[in-house]
Amino acid sequence: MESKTVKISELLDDYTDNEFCIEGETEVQNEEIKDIVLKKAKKRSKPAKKIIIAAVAATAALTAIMGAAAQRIAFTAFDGTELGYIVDEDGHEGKYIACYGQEENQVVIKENNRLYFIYDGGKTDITDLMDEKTPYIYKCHDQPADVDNTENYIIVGGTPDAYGYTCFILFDGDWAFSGKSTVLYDTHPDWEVNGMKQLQSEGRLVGLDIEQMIEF
Amino acid sequence: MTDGDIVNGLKKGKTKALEQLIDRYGKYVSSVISRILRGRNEDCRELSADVFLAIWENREKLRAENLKGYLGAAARNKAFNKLRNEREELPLEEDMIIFDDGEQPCEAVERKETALLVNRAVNDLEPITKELFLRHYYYGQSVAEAADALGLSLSAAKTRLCRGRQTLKAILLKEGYDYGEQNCENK
Repeated sequence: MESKTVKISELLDDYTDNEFCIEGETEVQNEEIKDIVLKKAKKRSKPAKKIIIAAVAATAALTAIMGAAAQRIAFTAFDGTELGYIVDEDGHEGKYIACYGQEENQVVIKENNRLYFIYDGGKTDITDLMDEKTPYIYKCHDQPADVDNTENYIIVGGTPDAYGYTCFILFDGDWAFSGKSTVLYDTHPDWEVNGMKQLQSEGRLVGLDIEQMIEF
Repeated sequence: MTDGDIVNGLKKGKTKALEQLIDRYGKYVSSVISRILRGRNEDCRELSADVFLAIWENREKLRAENLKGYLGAAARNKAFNKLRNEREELPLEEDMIIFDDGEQPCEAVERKETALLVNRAVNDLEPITKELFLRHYYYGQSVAEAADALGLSLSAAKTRLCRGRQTLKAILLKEGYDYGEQNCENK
C-alpha cells in the first residue's frame, strides 16, 4: 500500500505560537536588529532614481501629483517608469515622472551568479557582455526620435556583485531617466557614463548634457 | 498601521516599512530563535537580522496574510539550520505522521487553509500534550528536556507524544487536511 509521510516539525511551520513564546525573554533588542538589517539592506538595494532633468522639475512634478486635478499617462518606459501630463488644482499644466512600475518590471535579474536582461518575455545572459566600465545597451527604439517623439534606451552595467541599469527617456523634448542598482553609487558609474557617450556618438541622446548630469 | 500596510511599503522598497516590521515582530522572531538556541544572544541577534533581511530581499513575493506565522517559520528554519550545522541532526522523536492510501480526508469536508487547520489541530490537543508537542517539535527541545520542564517521566512524555501524533493525524483528517498538496515523501 502506498503511504505518504508528513514531517511534524515542517507541518508546524504553519503554526503560530502565541502562548509559549514569551516575547522579551531574550536580551536582543529591536534596535540592535534594525542596525544590522538596515545597514545590509541599504547596501544591497538602492532605491530607484526618481529624477527628471532639463525643463521638467522633479519636485514640482511630484507635488503636482499629490494635488493633481487631472493626470494623463503619455508614455510608459521599458522599465515601467511612467511619464505624462498633469494639471494641478490651480489649473497649471506640467509633466510628471513616476517610477512605481519598476518592482513589477525587472530589467536585470541575477540567477546562479549570472546576470540576465529581461525584455518582452525574452531573457539574455549579458554577464560576459559588460563589466564595471563596459555597458550593455538596449535600444528600445530603432531610430532616434520615433514617430511619437519619444526615445527609450537602457544602459546596463556592472558585475554579478554590483550591477544596475539606467533607463533614458526622451519625452516631449526633455530627457528623463530612472534606474536601479544593487549598490549605492556616490557618482555615476563608469559603465553608465561610457554608455551615454557611446549613444551620443551614434547620434542619440541628443541634447543630453552628460557633464551636467554627472554633476547632478 | 496594518500588516497589509507594512507589506505594501516593503514592496515599494521603503526601508521605513522594514523598520516598522521589526518594531512589530522583532521581539517575536528573536524570542522564537532564543528558545530554540537556548539563549545565545549573539547568535540570536544575527539570526533575527537574517530573518528580516531575507524578508527584505524577497519582499516582492511577500503576502500580508499570516505574516506573524511566516516570520515564525522563517525564524525556526534559521535556528534549526544553525543547530544542524553544529550537531548534524535534531533529536526529534518520530518526526512524522504517516497517511496510508485509504486515509484520504473526507471528501465532504471543505478544504481549509493549511495554516488555519494546523493551528486549530494543535490547539485541540490536550494542554499538557500540546505544550510537550510544541516544546519538542516546534522548539526542538529533546524529549528529556521537555519532559523535565513539565514534570513528566521520560516514558510518560514519549507516550504522550505518541498519543499526540495520533490525535493530530485524526484531527487533520477530520478537518480536511489535504496532505497530497503538501510536501510529502512517498514511502
